[in-house]
Amino acid sequence: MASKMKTIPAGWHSVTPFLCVKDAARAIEFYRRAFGATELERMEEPDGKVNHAVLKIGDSLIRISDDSSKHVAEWAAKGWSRSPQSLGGTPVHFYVYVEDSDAVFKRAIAAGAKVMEPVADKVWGDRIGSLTDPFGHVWMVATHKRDVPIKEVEKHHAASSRAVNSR
Amino acid sequence: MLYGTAVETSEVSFAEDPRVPEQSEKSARPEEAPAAPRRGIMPFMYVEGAGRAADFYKQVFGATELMREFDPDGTTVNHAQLKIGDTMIMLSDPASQDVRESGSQGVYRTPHQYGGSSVHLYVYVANVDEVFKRAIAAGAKVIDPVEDKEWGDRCGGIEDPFGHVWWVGTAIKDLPPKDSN
Repeated sequence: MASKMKTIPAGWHSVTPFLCVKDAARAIEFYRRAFGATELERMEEPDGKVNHAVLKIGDSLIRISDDSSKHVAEWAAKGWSRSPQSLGGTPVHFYVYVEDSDAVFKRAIAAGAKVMEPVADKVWGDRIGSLTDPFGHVWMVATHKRDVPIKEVEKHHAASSRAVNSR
Repeated sequence: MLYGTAVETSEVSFAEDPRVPEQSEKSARPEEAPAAPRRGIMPFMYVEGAGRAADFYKQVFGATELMREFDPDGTTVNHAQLKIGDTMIMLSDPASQDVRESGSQGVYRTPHQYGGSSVHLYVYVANVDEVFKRAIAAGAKVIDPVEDKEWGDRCGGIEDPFGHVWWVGTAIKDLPPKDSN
């Protein structure tokens, strides 16, 4: 059984986000500048619209399609695949670990992202800032600074009258 | 000046946490909850009923629950963290006190509230047909039935009961990694 084929292709994680954006070509450029993304694949339609592209950010891949591409037109008509601009927001944000969240945050803002929440140390041990990119997708840029025992997080939440149930 | 032309060429470094076991290894901390993976990109999903959504993802995708956090009422789950395969996902309920008190619930909405989603999730599983059936039995809607796709996966699309869209796939052809060239 050792030679059995892997059911996850090499290089992919179990879960990969698939982003629908308005003007995917510009979005890819933004992700390159802001997050140092590398482009692994791009398929364009005859009019130049990005049918789909695969980018690598850190150790993770993301897929991107243009919201007006033929690739997503059929799903978009049913509401399944629309850009954040078209929806007025996005119901899936991204929490991304980088080595220096302050530096990446500044780069992203310089590249056109908007600050949602400035970078700050959080009780769970991460230093994070939240931003909205120029295409409406939301990113929480994080660096893990210290290990916090779950008891300590619980204590903090108890102080703010919340309960945590860790398993 | 930090952000001149350097922005275009410099590489961003990403955290590699040596404490995170690879997916094929057993957890090094068997007595505790599994360590949360601290690398890569984790989807943070807004749902009506984070507890019910966590249960759905556990039942359908075999997710492991890492954490569940309650409002003061002790029953409303405001936040949950799960691991599907090697990837962590986080769930949050915009109706929870936690989010309401944050004062910025306008940006925290669910697919049902938006009337759709701008981020789908592609999930690799060992047996797509089984997972697809489980998903439908648990209340998901079919977007695209399971079939062999030209990109080397057997794959189908569903909308889960919370409005999130998943493409469930199993690799059936050995293809070179995307960044192998």
